[in-house]
Amino acid sequence: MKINKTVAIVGGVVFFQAAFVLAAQPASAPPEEESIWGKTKNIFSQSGGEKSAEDSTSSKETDQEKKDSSAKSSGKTAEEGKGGGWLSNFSSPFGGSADSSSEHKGGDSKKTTGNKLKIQDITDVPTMASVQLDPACKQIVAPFGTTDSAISLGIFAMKIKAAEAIGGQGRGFQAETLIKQAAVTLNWLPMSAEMTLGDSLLESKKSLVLEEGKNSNSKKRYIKARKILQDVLSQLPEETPYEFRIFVMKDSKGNAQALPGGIILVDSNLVDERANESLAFFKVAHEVSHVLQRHQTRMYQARLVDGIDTFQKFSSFIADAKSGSQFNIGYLGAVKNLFIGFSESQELQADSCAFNLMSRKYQDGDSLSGSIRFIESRLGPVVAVDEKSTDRVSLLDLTKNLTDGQFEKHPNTSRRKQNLEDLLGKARTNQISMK
Amino acid sequence: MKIGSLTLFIAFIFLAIPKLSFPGECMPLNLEGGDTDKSKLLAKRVVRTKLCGSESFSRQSVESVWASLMNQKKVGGKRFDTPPPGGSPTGLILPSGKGVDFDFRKLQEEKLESFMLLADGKVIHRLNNFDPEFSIQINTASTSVSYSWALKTSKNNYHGEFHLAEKDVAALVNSRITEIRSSHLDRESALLYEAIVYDDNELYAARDKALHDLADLIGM
Repeated sequence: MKINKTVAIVGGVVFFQAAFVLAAQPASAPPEEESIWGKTKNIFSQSGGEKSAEDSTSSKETDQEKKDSSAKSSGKTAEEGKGGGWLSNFSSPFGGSADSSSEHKGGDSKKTTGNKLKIQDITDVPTMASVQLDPACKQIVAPFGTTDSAISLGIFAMKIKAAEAIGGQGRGFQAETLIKQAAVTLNWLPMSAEMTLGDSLLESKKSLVLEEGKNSNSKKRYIKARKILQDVLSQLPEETPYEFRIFVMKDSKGNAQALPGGIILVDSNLVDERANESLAFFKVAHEVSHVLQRHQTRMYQARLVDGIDTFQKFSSFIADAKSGSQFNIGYLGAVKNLFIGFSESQELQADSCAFNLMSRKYQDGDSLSGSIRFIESRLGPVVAVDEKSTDRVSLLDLTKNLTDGQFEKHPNTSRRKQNLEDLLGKARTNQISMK
Repeated sequence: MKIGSLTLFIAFIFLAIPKLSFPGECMPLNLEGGDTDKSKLLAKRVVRTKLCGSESFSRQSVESVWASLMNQKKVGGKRFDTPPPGGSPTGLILPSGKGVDFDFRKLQEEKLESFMLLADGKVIHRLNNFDPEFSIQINTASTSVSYSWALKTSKNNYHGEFHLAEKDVAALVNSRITEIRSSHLDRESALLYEAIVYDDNELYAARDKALHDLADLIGM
């Protein structure tokens, strides 16, 4: 594969700048967290494959990103700073515009803005879906910044170049595969695009959403739904750029659902006056985790770049995504009606993230155990997982074959329960070791 | 005689106009989604009914029910759980004369093994070797009781939680359902109207049951 030299040089410069920034960053121990079992370092400590650095010290921001930073400092997201930008033509589901600035005013959560760089080493990510995700959810908010992606991409370009120099096939280092993997792993889809996708999906469900002003019951349900959402968000260990919104659905299956861009949907009986609050908390936390891990967005990304097989095409595609070309808007339109399912690993990870958030809420170990056991008793129904169809294929293969609902597979109930029991066990062990 | 003809013509116009304008007033024809031919056929049938356009059906419920029927296909998003079979008692429910109705015919292939009904966490009914469609008598006066059920098949476990509608809600809904059933409507239209009434009163399980029956009936 022929790699554009300029791209590689730029990547190299970016890489060394990133290295400089990282070197200048004081080494810090994983944050010590208060948990129900006492102080523990393990639940939300940084994952090994990623590093952090202060955004403000970064000298390699593009002009656009500088503008973005400026928008952030004034209390707006990067996309808000663009004044709606390339997605401003999309309409929002309830009459508003997709312009982020107006969207955020109606949100159910106060947006917090992350300012840490999170660099991903794409080539270190294993291809197997079952191991790509950290099952313990040590990092509850996945990297999201465009600067993060730019640096990660620079490092990625360097690695491809280096691999080419040594023959291209070392340790299974195939550029085409890696580019597709980068499409899944990197968070390059602008948040405004995520929000547009989410709004577009919400629009298709508009008539199934309970009207808040319908009667006193509906008002109470929205109040409760927002309270639970706030409760979940208040447990987040770090800042997130999302402004979450929650809607109550005209359904009674006790379910919850996440749409891209921070839209959470809950069935009406999950937030009625009889509903169990810890169960509702867990379900909302699970869905919030899908958003923060950008599970769905990554799948969309993979779909968007399907067919791109060179680094050059990929990098220009990302540039287009940032600049807002009609090309990408067309792609978004093409994928917006797809049901994007998650893998079993993503579901287990979201459960783990929800557990971690619950462990912060329920400081008392017995309360946490009781709540988790109650949730376990309410897990399912589940669709039996065909081991051959999901566990043994790579995430890339999975995304290539995305069709309506085909991969909407939750882990088998027993695996899900086992995961929660393992987390409870680890939390207990930590408590004992701290005594 | 000319005056008589004119009167007849005017009367015809007055009677016909609401019917002709039903697509706008009655809504279903204006809604999108689903299989076009089948939805149009059903909409035409509904339009001909005398209840179409009645103010007693809220626009939002009409739209919701229509959207639920037309958009059976999942689009986007991710659910926490795969939902229990459509129409299973969940949320607020309205008992029938026979009690609480369970219909697991769609799970027959999975081989039904056991069923349990609990009231406030205590087992009140247990079944083994049972038909996929059955009813269980419960005390319909106990609206404060939280019921839950669990079904085990050879493949999966299913469960749901429900409570009974308050007496006044039950009375209101029953009277509206009786009104629909006594209106001599075709079965499809009646089911659609019943689903709308259930939706409007937040009886979503009953709504889904009516919509499933309707979908089966028209082959959607």
